[in-house]
Amino acid sequence: MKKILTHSFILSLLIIVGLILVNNQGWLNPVKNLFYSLVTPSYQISFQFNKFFGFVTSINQLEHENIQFREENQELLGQIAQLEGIAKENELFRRQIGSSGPKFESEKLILANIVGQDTSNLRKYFLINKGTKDGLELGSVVIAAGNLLVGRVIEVTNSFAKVQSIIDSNSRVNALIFAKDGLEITGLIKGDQGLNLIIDLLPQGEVVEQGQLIVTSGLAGLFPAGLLIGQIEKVISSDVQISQMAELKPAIDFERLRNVFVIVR
Amino acid sequence: MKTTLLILGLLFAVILQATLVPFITLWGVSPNLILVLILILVILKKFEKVWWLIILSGLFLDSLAGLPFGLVSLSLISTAYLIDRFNQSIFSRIKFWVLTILVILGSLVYNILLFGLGIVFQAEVVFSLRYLLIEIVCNLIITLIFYAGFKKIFR
Repeated sequence: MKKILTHSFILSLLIIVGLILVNNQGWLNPVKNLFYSLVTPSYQISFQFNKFFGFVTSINQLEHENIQFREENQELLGQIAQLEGIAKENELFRRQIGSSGPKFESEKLILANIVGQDTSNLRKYFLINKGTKDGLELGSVVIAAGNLLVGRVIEVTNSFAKVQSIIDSNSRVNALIFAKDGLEITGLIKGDQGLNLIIDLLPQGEVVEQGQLIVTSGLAGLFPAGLLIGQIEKVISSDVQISQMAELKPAIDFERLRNVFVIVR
Repeated sequence: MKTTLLILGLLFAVILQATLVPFITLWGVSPNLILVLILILVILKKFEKVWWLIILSGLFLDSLAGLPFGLVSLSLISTAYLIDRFNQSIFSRIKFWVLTILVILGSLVYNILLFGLGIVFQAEVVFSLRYLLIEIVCNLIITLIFYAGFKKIFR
């Protein structure tokens, strides 16, 4: 028995199991806080490094992109007129469902900086520099400027919080698509491999098209209604399935995201 | 002295993994710097001498990973142990091709364990063969960069 317990691998496993139990009690939070404090300045330097390096490597592409942007600009001017119409439609929909959209009057928005990334290659979580002392709690909703949904807090210490982004495969968000014929189509958003999203459980027969905007529905009460999630990129429909699926492009570029707002009560 | 250097080095590497490394990508995939360093350490120093360092690294990684606490540590320690056993029973000398095989095998085992333990911990860990292959390439590049330096320090 003694020989087994002193075997380095068995001993390692026992220590890790012990650490898991200690962590479940929240006793590791001071250690985590200290470690997060070490990560914070380094992340800011890395972000600047990445920004500079990205700029240097992209100089050759700038001319090409400039031409492309001019063409896109023309297209966008046309789309603005179209979007104004959609905005009016949205206002009507909001009135109809009795929602005035997310204004967060009774809640407070806390600005937070991203100070660390998920260490696994899954990269669907990040660390922010606000914690319980700022009013954050488990489940607090995280958004970006412009009412764009980012994710929710899944772990919180005194000064830091870990955020699960909506692109994580474990994340689920009830969503709404405003269809052209004035109908609302409900679905469930989950993370896909990479940085994209999937909207599932869309009823068969409903017309889902590329470019349609998707917002939170507010169902289940986890996220406020009306936060922008993304745009339909590709519809995956099959007659043999009871529901349709679609790939989405998130409204947020998660690789460039640096500041977020946390909604606290 | 070497022990202090190792602890500081690994702490620095974990900080890099959480900050700078996510920005260094090959087709959207970053290398797993810690896994590579642990594998090199195990190959050069044997599991019995570095197991506590692996736990320490795992603890830091678990604090930053968005997975249930302990999942990364368990995958890391099991991978290190398996690679050490494999290395000691099959290879007598460390040559370049041996190192390559061990890093490929280590990356494979680590990701499979992460996926398998994810099921046990009821956390959905996405397993993508494409991502895994790119990660192996990234890890091999990192190994080439670090191995010579480590060999000089620890041999």
